[in-house]
Amino acid sequence: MTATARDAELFALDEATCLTLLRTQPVGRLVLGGDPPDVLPVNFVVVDRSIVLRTADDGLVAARAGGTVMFEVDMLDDRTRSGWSVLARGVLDDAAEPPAELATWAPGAHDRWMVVTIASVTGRLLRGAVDAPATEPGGYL
Amino acid sequence: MTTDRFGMTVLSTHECLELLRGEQVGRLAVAIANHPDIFPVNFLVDHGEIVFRTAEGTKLAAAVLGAGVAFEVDGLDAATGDAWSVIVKGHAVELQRMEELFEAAALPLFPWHASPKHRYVRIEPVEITGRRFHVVDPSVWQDPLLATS
Repeated sequence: MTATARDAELFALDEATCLTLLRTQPVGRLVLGGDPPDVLPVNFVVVDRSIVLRTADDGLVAARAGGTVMFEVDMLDDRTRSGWSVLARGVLDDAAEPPAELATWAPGAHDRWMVVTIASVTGRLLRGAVDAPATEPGGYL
Repeated sequence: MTTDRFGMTVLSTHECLELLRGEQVGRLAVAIANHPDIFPVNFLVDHGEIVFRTAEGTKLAAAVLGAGVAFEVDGLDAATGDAWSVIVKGHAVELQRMEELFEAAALPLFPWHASPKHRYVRIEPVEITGRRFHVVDPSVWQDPLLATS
């Protein structure tokens, strides 16, 4: 049986869906502005509308307290070319006290607890294309 | 084998490129007027450089060309329990010379989404860094949906 060909479709996700999807992943990527910018994979948990993470006291992330950052999570499947991504923008700040339990994967001390207070969040879902069966060998897209 | 100050294994450029070649999707981080942004893109490694396609007139096209960018991929090897990440920092350059475009057009690089993406962009790397470490604490494998409920 051959699947019917169809184009890829892109859908915008509403805020509630974005926040739900954000909670499904153990790793996100924190983007810090600059030329070039920095991007760091980090473990995190979501508490209300905040992204909680742990970092080194004297590291790159801690030095950016007070700044606007972007946080990204995604789940993309190579085989079906489908998936979703969620982007949250907000201000990075120190957490008053550890607001959640959070085990970090990486070695080293992660004594500095920080939060990204989400100001806006957007997400997209991609439903992958299904290719038409080749009608002639050597034909190209 | 080198480790950094946190105890992570420092990957060689060769190892970084091998890991990049094993992935189809990466994340392109840019900063527009110091506002950080990031886009998942599907990509290829060609001649040691990241190549991807983008559409004309998009936010992405405007953001990346000429500016400093950072490109990230990461993964978790379920068999070994090793987590890794690779970051390429450099400059995004649009392919313009005819022979470059012909070469790029021959790459097996198909956008996942069907909107027309006629421009090829490559990242001229300034720095390629990678880290790998073993995820020790098995509790991190728990379902995050359950952990935060």
